Amino acid sequence: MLLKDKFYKVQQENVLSPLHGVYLIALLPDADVYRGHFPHKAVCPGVCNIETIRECAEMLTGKKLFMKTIKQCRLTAVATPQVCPLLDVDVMLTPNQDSSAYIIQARIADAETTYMELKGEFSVNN
Amino acid sequence: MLYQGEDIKKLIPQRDPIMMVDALVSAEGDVCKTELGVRESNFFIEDDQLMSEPGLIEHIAQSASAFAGYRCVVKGEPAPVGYIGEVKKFHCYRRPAIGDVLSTTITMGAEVNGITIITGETTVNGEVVADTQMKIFTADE
Repeated sequence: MLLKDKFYKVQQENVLSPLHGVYLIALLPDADVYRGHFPHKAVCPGVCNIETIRECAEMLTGKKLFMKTIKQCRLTAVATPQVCPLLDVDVMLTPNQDSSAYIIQARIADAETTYMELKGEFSVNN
Repeated sequence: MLYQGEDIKKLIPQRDPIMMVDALVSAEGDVCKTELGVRESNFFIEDDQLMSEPGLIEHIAQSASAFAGYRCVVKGEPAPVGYIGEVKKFHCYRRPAIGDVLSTTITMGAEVNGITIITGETTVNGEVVADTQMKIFTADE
């Protein structure tokens, strides 16, 4: 995985059902990406949070998943390792008719703030 | 080429390892074209040697950012810092491989209260590999 143990570490995995999991992650303040995003102020790249959602969905299903479609992804607050060192990544999946893809609904939040909400379709095949 | 190499840093605030635009190829009216060569060292290259889809989103966002930066620089103003506010109707048709050159067309809508809606389409050798809409927030820092 691209970002697991480099950008975040999973602290706790709560599998509520085979297709619904909540991952408590710790953002790693020394992650390499912050050298460039940005040199004077570490801000989580929104796309890294999108990738984190995909990786949590892969941990939940045990399958490699491809991001065919993002219907909508709202970035509702700026996340940084200082502002939100711990985050819940809530991933809910619904298989499509022939099980070749999952409809995904995901949310990244802490107790006070929602940072990202995502709806899309992740495919099992590349 | 309007901007390439080190000069692209005048247009966007991102730096290594997450610089995702090599060149601003052209800019006219509301439309610009950018390029990115996909190298092995790219931050978004996965174990299968293909780029992860968020890399395409970041490339499109930074292409829009370079366009916004260019528009400011020609007016003698500092380049703004933009944040992605929303990604909508993103499709990835094929994940780019090492050696591919991404060619991206950005169409920028009007700015309303610091929010600009853009559309982006990325091709490799004329084949569309991704397209999306995006809302970009600009901040003055």
